[in-house]
Amino acid sequence: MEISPDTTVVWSWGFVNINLTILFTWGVMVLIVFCAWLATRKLTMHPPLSRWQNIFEAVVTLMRSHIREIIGPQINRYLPFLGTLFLFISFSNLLIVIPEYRPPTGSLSTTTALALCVFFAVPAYSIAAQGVGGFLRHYIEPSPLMLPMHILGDFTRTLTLAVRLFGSIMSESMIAGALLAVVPFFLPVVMKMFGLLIGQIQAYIFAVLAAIYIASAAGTHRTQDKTLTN
Amino acid sequence: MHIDLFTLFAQIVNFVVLMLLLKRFLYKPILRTMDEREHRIGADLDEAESKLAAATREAAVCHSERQEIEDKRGEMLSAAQEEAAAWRRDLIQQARDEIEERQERWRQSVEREKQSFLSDLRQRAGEQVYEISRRVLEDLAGVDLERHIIDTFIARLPGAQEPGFEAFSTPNAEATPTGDEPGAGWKPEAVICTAFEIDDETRERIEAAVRLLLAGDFNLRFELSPDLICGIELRAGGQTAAWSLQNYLETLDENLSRAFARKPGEER
Repeated sequence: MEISPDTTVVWSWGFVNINLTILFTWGVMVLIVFCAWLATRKLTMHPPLSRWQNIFEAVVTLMRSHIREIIGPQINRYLPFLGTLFLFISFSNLLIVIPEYRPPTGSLSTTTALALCVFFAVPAYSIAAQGVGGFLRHYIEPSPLMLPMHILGDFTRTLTLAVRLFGSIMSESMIAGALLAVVPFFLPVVMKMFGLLIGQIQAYIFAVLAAIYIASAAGTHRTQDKTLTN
Repeated sequence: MHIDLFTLFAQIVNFVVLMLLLKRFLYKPILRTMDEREHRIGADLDEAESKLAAATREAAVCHSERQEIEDKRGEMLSAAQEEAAAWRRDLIQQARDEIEERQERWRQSVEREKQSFLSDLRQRAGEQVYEISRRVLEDLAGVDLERHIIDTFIARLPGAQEPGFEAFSTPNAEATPTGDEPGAGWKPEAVICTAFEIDDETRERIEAAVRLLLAGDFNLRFELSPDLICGIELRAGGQTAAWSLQNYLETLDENLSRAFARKPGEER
């Protein structure tokens, strides 16, 4: 049984191997962009709103409220990155109801890529918020002795991000496949429903953790704490 | 469980591309629309607040105006009530005055009718008494009433020297019933009025008695006066000496007046 869709290569040219992960990722990307286009092609300010506009406005509003709670008032700066993380993982996991579909998030390469994006986004946002000095300073706070722990923490949290998402989605696919072989009818449907729930939870966890890492590195939460203390 | 490096980089690129596409097709338009809506709602709320404030002020003005109208209405109502009460009092007073006036007119009318009735009654009673007395005396006693009246009149004529009758001694011009100016040959006049015709003999007796009473030269004239009920009268020099049923009838008149004035149920 194939664990990852990376192993199924659809097209190959030299070192360029288009596997199922990339293929389904493109499909998910096209679907998301198409839905976004549907939602925004006829935007109106006054009711009645279109169904797609309603859905995406609700999703965007929800993401903005979470970002405001976790990071602070600079919502629009973080929304594209965190929102795209959530939407991509969420759509990828939602489509498991389609037969023969293999979620790209079930590939360690994909989850690692997303974790790496978070890994690079955290210092980028931190430097943008408080400069290079501010970014580097948080490694030696509250004591320079914490420097190794901070560096180790950066790598481990990237690893946990990647492995958590991959493990959740891959295990769900594995269990569903195994149960399909043993009990071909009713139980796989239930497992698919669990899979949908777990996929949405994982999308939420991944995006929220990324927001927390960014907030932690950018020092916005410390600023908020100081503001509250003052 | 391995990581394909090409897939890893491809997914990074895919993610970045997806982020850019969503930023272009989703986040920017959605956020712009939401911001505009938020601003519009904020502006609408501000406008609503200003309108609410204006409406509140307008309501306060309306309330005060309504209160003022209510006060004016109360004042006008009380004034109208007072005016109506005054009008009612005036009307009642007018009605009372009118009723009193009508009562007074009615009372005067009744009084006139009573006086007229009494006068008429007195006249008729006198005539009837006279007629009855004359017949009774004539039929039962063979006495002529007129003659007896004249005899009684002559007998009761006072002497010229009696106190109070000095004026009869000199009939003057004022006693003339005609009021003519005294001139040559003019004589004072004395008048004998009777309610019945008297014969010449009786006239001579009367004239002799009057000339005994009155001094000086004068003319004596006889007049028939039905108003003198059953009586005879001498007028001379502004003085009058009479005998008739007038006194008795006046007594009857007084008694009847008292009977009219007596209220129902009052004891006699």
